[in-house]
Amino acid sequence: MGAHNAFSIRRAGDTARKYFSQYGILAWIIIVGAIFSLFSGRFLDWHNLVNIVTQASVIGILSVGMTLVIITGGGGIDLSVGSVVGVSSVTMAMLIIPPSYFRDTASMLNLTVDAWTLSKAMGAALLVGAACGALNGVLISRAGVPPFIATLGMMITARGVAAYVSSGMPTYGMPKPIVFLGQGRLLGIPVPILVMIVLGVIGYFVLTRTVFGASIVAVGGNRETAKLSGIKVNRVLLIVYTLNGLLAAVAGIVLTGHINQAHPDAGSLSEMYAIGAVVVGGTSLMGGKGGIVGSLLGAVLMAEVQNGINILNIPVAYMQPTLGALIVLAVVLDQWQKRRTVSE
Amino acid sequence: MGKSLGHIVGAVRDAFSTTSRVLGIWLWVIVFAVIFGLIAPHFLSILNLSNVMRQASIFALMATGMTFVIISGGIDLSVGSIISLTSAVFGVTWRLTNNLALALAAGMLVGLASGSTVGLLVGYLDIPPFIATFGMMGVGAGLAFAVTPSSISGFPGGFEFLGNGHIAGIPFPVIIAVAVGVVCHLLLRRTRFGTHVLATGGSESSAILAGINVRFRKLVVYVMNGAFASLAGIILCARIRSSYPGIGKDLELDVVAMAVLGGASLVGGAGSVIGALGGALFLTMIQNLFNLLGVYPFMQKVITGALIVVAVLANQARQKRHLHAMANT
Repeated sequence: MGAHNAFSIRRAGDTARKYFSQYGILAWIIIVGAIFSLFSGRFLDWHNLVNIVTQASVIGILSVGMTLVIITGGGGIDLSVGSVVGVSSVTMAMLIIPPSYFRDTASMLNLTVDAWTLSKAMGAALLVGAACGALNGVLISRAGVPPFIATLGMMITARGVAAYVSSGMPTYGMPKPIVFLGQGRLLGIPVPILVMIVLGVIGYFVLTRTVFGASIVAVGGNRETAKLSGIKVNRVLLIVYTLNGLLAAVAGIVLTGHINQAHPDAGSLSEMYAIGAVVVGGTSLMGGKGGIVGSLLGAVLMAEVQNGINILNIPVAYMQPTLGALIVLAVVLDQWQKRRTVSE
Repeated sequence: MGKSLGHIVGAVRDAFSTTSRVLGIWLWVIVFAVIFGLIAPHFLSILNLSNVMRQASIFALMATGMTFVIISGGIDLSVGSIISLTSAVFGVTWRLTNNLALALAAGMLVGLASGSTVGLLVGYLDIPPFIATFGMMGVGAGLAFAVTPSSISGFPGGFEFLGNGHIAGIPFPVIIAVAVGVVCHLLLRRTRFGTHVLATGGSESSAILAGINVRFRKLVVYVMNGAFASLAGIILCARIRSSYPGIGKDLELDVVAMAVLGGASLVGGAGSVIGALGGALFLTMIQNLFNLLGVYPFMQKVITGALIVVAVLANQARQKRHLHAMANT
């Protein structure tokens, strides 16, 4: 009887460990949350928890596309998404503001914008994002430029274009529908969270349930084999980078609504946090394997840490070090876990 | 007659492709220097050129270290933060102790310590370099402002020589960068260590099978890179006569671009120190021309971004042609 109990306990432990190694990131979110809640009673407040996920949503949206890019392997990475966020944000704002209101942006708060102008502006923002992504894709798939360099060039160029489009100045006060996308609620759930979840679910199904998703994984696993089995590698790469640019534009629109302003520097460094979220979420930078659920959880973990640091009144200078150390630690432990699973 | 003209054209083209293969990015540096000289006559003045070289030399030090890292199959996103932290630690140590030697040692220690940390993470714990150095980037940038949020100045006059001095009319930082470049070039091409680093990046599994201590090579490469970044940070302090904890912000990607322009391959296994020096000079030259002409900052970004991609593309096309030609003979 005793032996039987011990056996079943061990089996339960094994199951728990297996679950942890698969969704280790979830365990991390819980552990970090438990630590923060010990130090501050406000942390586990429902509003604060919702706030954390809302804060995670822009990086979360970016991480959906970034996951696909990184899975394609061959050094696949996109450093330009932060700049694309900026350029799509100011493009949208510039198309909304009528010339007579130029720079007189405070009045925008009460400005009624007709649906046509609004859809034109948002469409243009999405188009700009997709175009940046497509240019990355062409350079990488057709011209054979390493993704790091192609997207680094785009990162610098797009940031310059953002400054040019906006004359280097921020625009405050967005029309209500855009603010709704960033600050509104639908059925009690903040809209940015809904956007992130919808895009995450679509991304998940594309990656795991479609031929296109399978070919992304195949391209990342072994490009030669993928080519020999009839996958049009170049086309897959082109589509993935274009999609990533498009998603960055969506993130740009949501961010613009969330902070109620379009800034030419919007989204700077967010490419790094998106990549961090993807890697912390268990996607390998070598390509060929990974998943979107982990990436979204990675984004939540980083927002959680930022939030906890704010709540505990830790000086802001320690924010970046903590996040940096956390990302490294998460990967160290993940590696250790995998090595143990393998050796067993 | 027509045939001989064809011969001449062919010979010129061959000669051009041979020189471009040998010179790499330096051909671009020369061609662009001539073009820039035509656009802005002041560009080729001794004063301006010595200024460009002085600026480029700080980047050249960093690009040299980065080249070794990239050759080993890695990347280092932390160099900008290391420069910031070095600057802050150097300044604070000087303010607290008024001891220059101690301040220099403390500054150099920053690079050695962060380089060792990254090296251990990458080499011994198998953390992807992108992640390990991205983490270090955050740690360094934050700590720099935690050490001191303010700018510190008032260093002794002799220290300034490190950044602004001349020997025989040549700016001192240029002499340091060239000396370091030559030593590192020899280290890469003429020593067993260099061969091992190339092998590590070329095919890590083969390198391990050949008995190379890949882990230790990686550690050394990151420590070197950290040390060069700290050295660059200290020279930068001397040049502007003050320390500032945000001085290295956003430099890391420029440095990676310089190394890649110089022929370093981001998949590892190939790269050149002489090329990295050229890459540093190339990007600094462009920056300088923009300033001379008063080009708007946004336009500078657009052109710089495009030029990085075009230059890498041209490098690749040339290598491909060369391989093609080799295959045909």
